[in-house]
Amino acid sequence: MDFNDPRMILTIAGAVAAALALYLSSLRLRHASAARKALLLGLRSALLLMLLVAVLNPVRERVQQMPHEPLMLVALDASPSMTKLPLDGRSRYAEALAALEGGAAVPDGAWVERFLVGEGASRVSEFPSSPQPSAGSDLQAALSELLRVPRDRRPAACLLISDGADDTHRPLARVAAGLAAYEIPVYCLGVGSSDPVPDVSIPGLVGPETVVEGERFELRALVRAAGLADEPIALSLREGEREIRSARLEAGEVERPATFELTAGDPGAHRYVLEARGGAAEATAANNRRSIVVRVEPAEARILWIEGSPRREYAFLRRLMLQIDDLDVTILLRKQEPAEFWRDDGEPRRASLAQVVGELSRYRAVVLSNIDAGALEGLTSRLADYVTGGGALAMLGGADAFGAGGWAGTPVAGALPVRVSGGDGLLADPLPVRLSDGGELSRALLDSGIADWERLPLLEGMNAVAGVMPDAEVALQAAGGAGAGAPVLAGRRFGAGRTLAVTVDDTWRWRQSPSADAHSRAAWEALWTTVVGRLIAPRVDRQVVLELGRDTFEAGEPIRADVHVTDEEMRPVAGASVRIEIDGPGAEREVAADATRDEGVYRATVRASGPGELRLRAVAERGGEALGEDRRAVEVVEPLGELTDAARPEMLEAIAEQTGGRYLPLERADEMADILKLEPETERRTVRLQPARTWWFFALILLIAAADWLLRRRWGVG
Amino acid sequence: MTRNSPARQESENTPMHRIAAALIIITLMLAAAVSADAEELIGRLEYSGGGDWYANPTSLPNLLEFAGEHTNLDLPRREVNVKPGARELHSFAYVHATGHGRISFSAEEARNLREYLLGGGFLHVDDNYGLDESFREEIRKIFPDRQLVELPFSHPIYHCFFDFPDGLPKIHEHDGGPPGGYAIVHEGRVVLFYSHNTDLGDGWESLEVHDNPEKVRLQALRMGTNLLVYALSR
Repeated sequence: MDFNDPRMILTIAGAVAAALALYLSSLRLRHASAARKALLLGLRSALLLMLLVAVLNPVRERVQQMPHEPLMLVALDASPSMTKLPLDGRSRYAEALAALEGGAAVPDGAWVERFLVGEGASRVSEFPSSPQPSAGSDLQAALSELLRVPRDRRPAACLLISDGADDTHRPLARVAAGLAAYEIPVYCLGVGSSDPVPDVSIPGLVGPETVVEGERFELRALVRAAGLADEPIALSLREGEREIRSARLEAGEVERPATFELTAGDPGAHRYVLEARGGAAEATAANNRRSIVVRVEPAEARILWIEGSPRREYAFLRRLMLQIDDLDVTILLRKQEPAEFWRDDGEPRRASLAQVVGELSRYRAVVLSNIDAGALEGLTSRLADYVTGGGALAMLGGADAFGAGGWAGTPVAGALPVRVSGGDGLLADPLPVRLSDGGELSRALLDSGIADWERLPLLEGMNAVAGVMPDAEVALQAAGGAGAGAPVLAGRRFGAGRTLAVTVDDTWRWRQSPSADAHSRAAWEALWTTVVGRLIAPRVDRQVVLELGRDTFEAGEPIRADVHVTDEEMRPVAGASVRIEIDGPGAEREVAADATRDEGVYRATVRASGPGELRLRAVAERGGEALGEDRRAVEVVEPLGELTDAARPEMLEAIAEQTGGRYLPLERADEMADILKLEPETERRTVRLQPARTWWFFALILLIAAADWLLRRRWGVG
Repeated sequence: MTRNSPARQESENTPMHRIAAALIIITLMLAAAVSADAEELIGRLEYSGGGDWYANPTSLPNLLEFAGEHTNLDLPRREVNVKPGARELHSFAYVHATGHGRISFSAEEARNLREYLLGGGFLHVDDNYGLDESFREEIRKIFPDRQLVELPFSHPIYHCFFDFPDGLPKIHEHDGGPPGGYAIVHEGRVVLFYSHNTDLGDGWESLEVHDNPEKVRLQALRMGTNLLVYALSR
């Protein structure tokens, strides 16, 4: 006996109180007859006992056997391959629904819950005749969603009616093993034909990323002719709107390789589009095209020289340019204001500035020699982009250069190594020059063996500039005159390219003047060969590379963009800020790329909701400093859905086998009910009995109390 | 450093002070922006030998004015006389020689001329009538290893600005016959152009001097412009 238990204390107290109450009652009934006294005391004893039981509320547990109907889950696949295929005739879904409505597949006496499955699962009261197709199908995810739900009754079985096609392309074994973990047998009815859906596609088109002008290279394609192995396939390779190659792949194999030999054309980016022409019977033509971009680099160094006017400085420099081996110079010489340009690298002839500048990618460097910004109006942004993208640009001095030429505030001015302001004019004060210390340009001039630059014939003046950019290198500077200390030759890296500034326009005096001599002529040669060498040096490998893996994607498909960022020594750069600007249909405007585990690799996912061209520009910065950029354009095509998916009974067989179910083709659906034969289930349940909390218990208390009260009134006792 | 009193600040903001400050700024800006854009030097060769090197005095100023109007060449208003042996010769972008009679170069002058021309200079010799014989002799002093060659009509000197499909225009009749354009060519560049039997300089002269028809004058000035464009671009 546990006297620490409050119930025990309560029981003893109640018993004592009841005994006292009975004793007092017996005293009040002392004048009653013995029979009446016994009856009333008996009633009161019973009443007190029941009140005591009501207060103590004793509990009793008992095990019961509960029979019920077996629960069966019926899942009908409503993915696109079920609802849209075959292209002619009744869909797989409609066939499955007809079999279900016949009732042969589901055994009698089962409690059925119905689900439509695709990428997920949704419960329905009845299967609709025309369901809204899901975006795709993921059998493992969809079945898991309905099998893992906790229920009062554990499902006895799941019946899946599907074609087994699955967007995820997970291995069969993995899907089946994943579903087996729920320990619910999945019975499968397979619908649809496993014969390939007739369709021509181009799974792959590969080629070199970069080739040199004139180089021969190959584009290799793999063409797939599912269900059309006995049909020939016509291929057409286009560049722009022009067909450059065609081929015919004879009937035979399902997968047929094709190779196109090409010769790299003009420098720049070339986009090749391969198109396969299938028959009218194919499921979709949306996967019949694939494109690739091949970048063509110039075979020899090309310079575009834009000269503001015939002048002595130009005449001397032109001769030098044309003498340099392996240098191809295109010269546009303005001979009349405002913009009458002539080609002057060969036979003189009038030329279009816009046309030549429109082909900037052909050139490794552009020289703006004493040409004002107004003459290039509308082209200055492209020139700045050209430098950012890896080109070299030099501005040479004169009355139409730098601030005097109206370049202040232009995109080009922002790329130059010197600061250009609108108030900068020309300083007409003879000046000597001197070599500055440090930097690649200075070292190159020093290596030329020229000493005593101050001893060279004086130059007559120079362009005033407002200073030097912080990241620029000054190789020569004015050693006297009004512009003492000002940069004469400066260089700078800008984006993936580089710029040079030469702020004087009469270095010809070192070549030919009354005081010119062998030393000054050698210095002139050293200066300009250094400048040209710097301009035509091979492009620095891009520090920012945007990699997409391929260049054709389906609308809605995630495009994984990896951005590789390296420094000038090609070492990976950590801690960069990388963003991808997007221009195209239905896409975000900009996404940030996150650092990955691989140092220097940043990743972002881009989606395009609609078909069309998607242009991506990856920009990397660190600490406010531009590290570079890279651009890619990809083609977004209409989603193919599952239009090319043949039925995969092997998937259903694997699921059935691993989960303990059975697989049958839909034609044998009437056998499924026999196979299932779900027996009624009984469940052992433990029942807790609490008589003191039942209605009849309280009714009995009231009845005894009422009888006691009536008898006492009738007999007129206590 | 001292702090300005309000009174001092007020006195510095008077209109006179403002005007003075503006004038100083403008003067400084002008001083800084003085054109350093040196015009190209155009010379007249002051040779010896007895020929009238100073002939056709209005020719070069007229040519410079015409060429300046029709092209963007940065040209002076007048030429500068220069002797063939002068070191200053090397500063000239274009040197013109003309006259009647004899032309003669000393050995030093010939050496200096050769150095000038091979170093990047340009000499135009225009036979004003009677210069041909002596010039052809003297040119051998300058270029003993080279020959005057007649330029084909397709040469850039006839097409580099104005188009002369038939070569040199005929300006003035002396002995009849077609005009001839001859040259000393060095590394593909004409360093000396000799215009014979045309008298371009007559055509450049002012209208009242020779009373040439305007069309003929225009042809001469256009050909002269081509020579200047060529000299300053090749």
